[in-house]
Amino acid sequence: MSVVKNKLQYLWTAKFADGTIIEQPTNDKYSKHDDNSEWNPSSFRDILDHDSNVVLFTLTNVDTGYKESVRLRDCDKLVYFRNVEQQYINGVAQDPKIVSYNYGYEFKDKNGKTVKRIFTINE
Amino acid sequence: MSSIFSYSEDNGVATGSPAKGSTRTGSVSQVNWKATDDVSTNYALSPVVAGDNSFPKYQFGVITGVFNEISNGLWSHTAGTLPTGVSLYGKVSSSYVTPSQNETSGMVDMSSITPITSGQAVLFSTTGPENATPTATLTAAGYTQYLVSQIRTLTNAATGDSDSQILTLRFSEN
Repeated sequence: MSVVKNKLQYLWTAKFADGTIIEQPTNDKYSKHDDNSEWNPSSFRDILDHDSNVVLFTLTNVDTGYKESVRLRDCDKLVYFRNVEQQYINGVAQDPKIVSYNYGYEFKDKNGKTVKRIFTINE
Repeated sequence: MSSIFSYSEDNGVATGSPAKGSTRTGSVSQVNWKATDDVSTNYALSPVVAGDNSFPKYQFGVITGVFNEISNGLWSHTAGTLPTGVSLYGKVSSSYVTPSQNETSGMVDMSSITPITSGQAVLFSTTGPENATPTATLTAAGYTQYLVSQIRTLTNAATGDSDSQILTLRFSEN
């Protein structure tokens, strides 16, 4: 069994329209984490649970402090995901690795088409 | 902390509905194509004879741990050159068929290198790789579809191990 081995190199901070700020914990645990369950939502669920729009989403490099941010309008929906790769090399399973952090937003244009603007930080 | 991933493999006679392998092995750490349908037999002791095919490997990912959503599954042969007379075939599927050394139906030739961004789409299920209605996202502990692979050889295939090959599974998580 393999845990995604590389630590979270970038942690997010979400600022909401109501002034609340939520920071991703290093263990990525949801505020209602259940240690007795084989699966739990990540701390990203706390963003989705919050009853106010995200207005600023920031990724901070845990080693250098470097930051990347995106501002969101009322019509924007936050998009955030990490790409993880698991490889077999010469028939042997490797530990999964985070290969990129992706953040941005999506919205509907005047024609009702979905537009996505995604920024990528490659590991 | 994020998702926890491991491979499992099905072998043996197709059983149940939907069908899955009569033997399911967890925490599999290798994919060695050979002339025996199991996980444990050393491939050197069960080589594929030139002109024959390997048994297909019905492997799948098991995903637990901490995640809000898993999505955008992709699978591809991303590096490595196969020797003359040796081809790698594969398919992503929710169907398990009793393995044999005949050509497994529905596979595509994966011998050439394909960037992971152009890989075969992989869907997910909370009940098993054999679930006939997998979905594009996973929002609880679950499984990928079967990632089925098979080595096919011609009579002119050279003896010995092939050079290192890389198979990549990618997914998004948050």
